[in-house]
Amino acid sequence: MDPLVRTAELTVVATVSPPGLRIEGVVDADSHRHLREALQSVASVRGDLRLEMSRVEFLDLAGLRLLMTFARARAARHCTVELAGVPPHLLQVITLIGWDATPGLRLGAAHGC
Amino acid sequence: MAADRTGPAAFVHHACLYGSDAEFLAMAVPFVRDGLAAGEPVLAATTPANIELLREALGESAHHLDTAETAYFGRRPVERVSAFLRHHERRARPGRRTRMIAEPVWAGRSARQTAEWKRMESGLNVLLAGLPVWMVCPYDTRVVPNDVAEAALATHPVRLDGERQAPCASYADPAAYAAAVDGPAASCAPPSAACTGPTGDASVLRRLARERAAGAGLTGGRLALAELAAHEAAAYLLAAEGARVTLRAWEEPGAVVYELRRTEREGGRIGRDADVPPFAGYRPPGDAQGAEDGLWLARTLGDSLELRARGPETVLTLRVPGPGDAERL
Repeated sequence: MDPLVRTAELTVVATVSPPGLRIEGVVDADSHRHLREALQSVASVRGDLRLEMSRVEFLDLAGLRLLMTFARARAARHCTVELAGVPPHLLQVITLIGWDATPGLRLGAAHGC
Repeated sequence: MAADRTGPAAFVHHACLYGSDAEFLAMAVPFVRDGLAAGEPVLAATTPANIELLREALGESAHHLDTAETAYFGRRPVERVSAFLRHHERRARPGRRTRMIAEPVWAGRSARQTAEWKRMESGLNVLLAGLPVWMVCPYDTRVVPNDVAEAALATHPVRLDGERQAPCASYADPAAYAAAVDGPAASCAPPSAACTGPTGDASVLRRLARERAAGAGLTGGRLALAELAAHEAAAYLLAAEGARVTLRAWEEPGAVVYELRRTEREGGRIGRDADVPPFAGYRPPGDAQGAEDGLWLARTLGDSLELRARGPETVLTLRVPGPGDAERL
């Protein structure tokens, strides 16, 4: 399947089973727009989604917020998004801010860093 | 008590300088009792010894008092502000004020930490303004240094002795006070510091920040957090139109230091949005994206973060814990 995003820094691929996205590389101010569009492309999928993040090299705070906003939108549709393979330091940041309680968000098992 | 006259909508910030257990209780017992009687949530964030005194004096009503050992209720100023805001969010009752006894730990602090806590005490008047909170900050004159006791009267508009309120004559405008607090002089980058910029590209700054942190011996999650803290600090500075930032990075015992110096673009003017508001980055991110969210994260992940305006330049100095920080080993 062709990636939804392919830049020098970021690749996002749609996944079918489970439905969702695989995010690889760097998310910063240069790529927020790409990530937002990729999330938008799966926003209408019914049921739960998974974002596979074990190959994320860098994700800034604004990028993390995009994921939280997406989770809340899932909750409004009575479904969830699972963040799988989130690097432990990002789990720490999510918890620090209190975003671990975001409606619609499920935090999957972390990968070692 | 007379502070009731201010109504529930305004933030009320009192200092209580006490020199004995009896003086502490003369303030704390009526403050807590009146609050509980009015159906207001009441928190005592103070020393374990004071919490014990207070519980004994309150008897049965102590069951309704929220308590926190103060050293763990926000270890550093940015965490302290977050702790206050979160406590209020969780405990506030509609139409009622929340009361807090908030006694910071002053003993054993470094000069830099003491300066930062003094600034924060003043900053609370701005950061919590508009919140229906009545906060009393007790200062134990048996243990706090003189300069800290003096600062209490400059950072709180009113002092409370027992139930008697008196305005603090030396109360100072928070922004002016924070700018004037004596702290250690800003450290200069050593000649061996790594340097990049000026640039408007955050990823260039981030790469050097990571490289230096790795060179200092940080690995894994701690390396990633150092990189993220430096990135968010840089992104905050670069958000101003036309801004460019120079990064210098070096090691100190216990810390990796990042100095981020913002200048205007050559031949251009930096936007007016470049002004850094006093007490920027002390409030945790809310539901909507805020301009200071990243600065809050950098403050929270770092050991210290100082912002200074030097003429047309803004200098941000961020210290992240080094590999020998045993709290995080």
